[in-house]
Amino acid sequence: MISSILIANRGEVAVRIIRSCRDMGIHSVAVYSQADYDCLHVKMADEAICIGPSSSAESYLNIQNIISAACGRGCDAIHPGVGFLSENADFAEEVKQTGLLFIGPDPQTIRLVGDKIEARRTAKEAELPLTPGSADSIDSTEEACRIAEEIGYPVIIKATAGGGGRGMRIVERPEEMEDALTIAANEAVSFFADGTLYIEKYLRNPRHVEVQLLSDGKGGVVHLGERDCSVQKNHQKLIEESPSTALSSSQREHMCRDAVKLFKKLHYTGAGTVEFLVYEGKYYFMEVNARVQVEHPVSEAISSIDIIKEQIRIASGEPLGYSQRQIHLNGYAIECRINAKAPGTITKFVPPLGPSVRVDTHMYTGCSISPHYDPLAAKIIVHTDNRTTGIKTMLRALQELEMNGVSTNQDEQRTILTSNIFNSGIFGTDIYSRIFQE
Amino acid sequence: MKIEYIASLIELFESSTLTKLHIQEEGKEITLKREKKIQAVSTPIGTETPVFHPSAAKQTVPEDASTQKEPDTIIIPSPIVGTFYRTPAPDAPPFIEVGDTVKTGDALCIIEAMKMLNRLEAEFPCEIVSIRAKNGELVEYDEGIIEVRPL
Repeated sequence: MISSILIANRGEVAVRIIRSCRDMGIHSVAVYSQADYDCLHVKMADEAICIGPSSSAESYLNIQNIISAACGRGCDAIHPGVGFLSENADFAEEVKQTGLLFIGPDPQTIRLVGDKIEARRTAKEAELPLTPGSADSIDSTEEACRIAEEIGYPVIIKATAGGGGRGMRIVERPEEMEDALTIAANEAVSFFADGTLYIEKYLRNPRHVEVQLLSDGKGGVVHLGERDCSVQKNHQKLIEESPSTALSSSQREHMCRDAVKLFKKLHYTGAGTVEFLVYEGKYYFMEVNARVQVEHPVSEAISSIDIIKEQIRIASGEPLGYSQRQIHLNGYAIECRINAKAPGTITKFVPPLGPSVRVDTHMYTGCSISPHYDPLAAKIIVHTDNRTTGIKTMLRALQELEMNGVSTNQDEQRTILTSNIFNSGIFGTDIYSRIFQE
Repeated sequence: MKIEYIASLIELFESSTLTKLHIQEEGKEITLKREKKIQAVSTPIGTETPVFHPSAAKQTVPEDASTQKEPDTIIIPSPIVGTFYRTPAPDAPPFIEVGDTVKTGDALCIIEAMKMLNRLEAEFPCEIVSIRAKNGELVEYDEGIIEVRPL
C-alpha cells in the first residue's frame, strides 16, 4: 500500500498527479525550485519542499535532493511525471535502492527501451513491423552507404540514445552521408553523451500514431486505443486525437495487438506507449515511451480509466484486475496544448468550462510563467461522440479560454482546427507547415 | 531626471504588472524593482511538521532569511536537502552551542543526504547566535539553519 507520494515534477502534470493522489486518499508531497515557490502544485500538495535554485539541473533534476526530500518526509513512492527524470534509469535505480517505490517501469526496462537499437531488436523479436534499417550501430561511412543503397534513399540517421529530434539527420544522396554522420554523432555526444548511430529508411510525411498501454508486470496487459499526434511543430506535439483518422478498424486492431505483444515481451510494469509511424497504408514500430505522456488525458477520456491512478496501483503491486474485453473505448477525444510564447505574469486566467470539456493546467490569475521551464501552460481536452462535434466543441472551448498577460498559441490552434486539411482527416506530420505556409 | 518624472514612473510601475523597469537616458539610469512577496511563515521551523494537513504546503515556503533576525547577523542556509544533525555521532556532544565562537573551517553541523554525511563548515570566524534547525529533522534547500554574527 502506498500512503504518501513525492511528485518529482512541476506544472500541470504535478497538479494532475496530486489530484489522483487525493482521489485515492494518498498524501502528496510536492517539490519546487526557488523560481516556483508560488506555483499551483506547491499550493495544492499536502506538503511542499524546496529542492534547489531555478535551474532544472540543480532542482528538478537533482536526484540527491529529491530522494532526500522523499526520505525525510516519509514518502513510500516517487512519481516522476513526464520529462525531467521520468526516463532516467539511474534515477529509477537509486529510488529503488533507497527502498522507495518508483512509479514507472523497472530501471532495466527504461534502459532497454531508451536504447533505440535494443528497442528495435526487441520489437523485431516480438514480430512488429519495422522500417528497413541497420540492425546494429553504424561504424563507417562505407557501411552506412551500403545499407542506404540496400534500403533506398532517403534514409535517416538517428542516435541510439536520441529523442526530441536531436542527433537526427535526413540523407537524400550518398554524397551527404559523411557530413551527416559527423554532425549527428557530434550532436548525439553533446546531448546524450553517446555518439552511437543507426540508420533507418526515412518516411516522408508519415502519420504519428501511438498506442497507450497499461501493464501490471504479472502478465496482465491492456491497451486503451491509439492517439494520433501528427499535428506537430518542430517535433513538438500540438494536437492529439483518438481515434486516428489514418487507421482502418482492422489496422487499429493489429497495431494495438502488436503493442500489447511488445509489452508482454518486455514484461513491462506500469503505463507506457508504443509509437508507430503510419505511411502509405502500413504502420511501423518507432519507439517505446516508458512513462506517462502529456497527452494521456485523450485516452482517459475515451476509456474512462484514470491512467495516473492505474500507475500508482500497478507500482504498489496490484494486478490490473480487468481484461481487454472489459475496456470500452467510447466516442472521440481531442487535446489542444496551450503554450506560452514568452515568460511573464498571467494577469487574467479563465479556463473554458461546460459539457465535454476538461482542462489540465497549473495556471491561475497572478501566477507567473518562468523562463526556466517548458512553455506548456494548459491542455484542453474535449470528449464527444464524433470528430466533427469534437472539433466544434474544442473551438468553443478555445474561444472561452482567457489567458492574458503573455502571448499564447491559442489563435494558431484555432487556425489548425478550422483548416480544411485538418478537417479532412487526411494529412501527415507536415500539416503544420502546410497550414502556415499558405 | 526630474523628481516629478520619477514619481510618475513609480506610479505607473505600481499600477502595472511589471516586476522590473529599467530606463537609461542621457547618461542617467533608474531601475524600479518589485520584490516578490514571500508569505510569512506561520510555523517556526522546529515545531512539529503537521502531517496530512492540507494547508501544510503553505508553511513550507522557505523562510525569508532577512526576517526575524538581528541586524548584524547572517543566517546560513542549507546548501542541500537532507537531515540536520548537530552532533558528529548520536552520543557525541554537539559541534556548536549558542554563544560559541568558531573559526573558519570549524564544523557547524552535519546534513545527511542519501547516507552521505556532509559536514557544513564555517566560512568565516563568527559567533553562534541561534540554531534554527532541529536535530534529526529534514531541512529544505536554502532553509536558514544557523544564525551567526561575523567577527
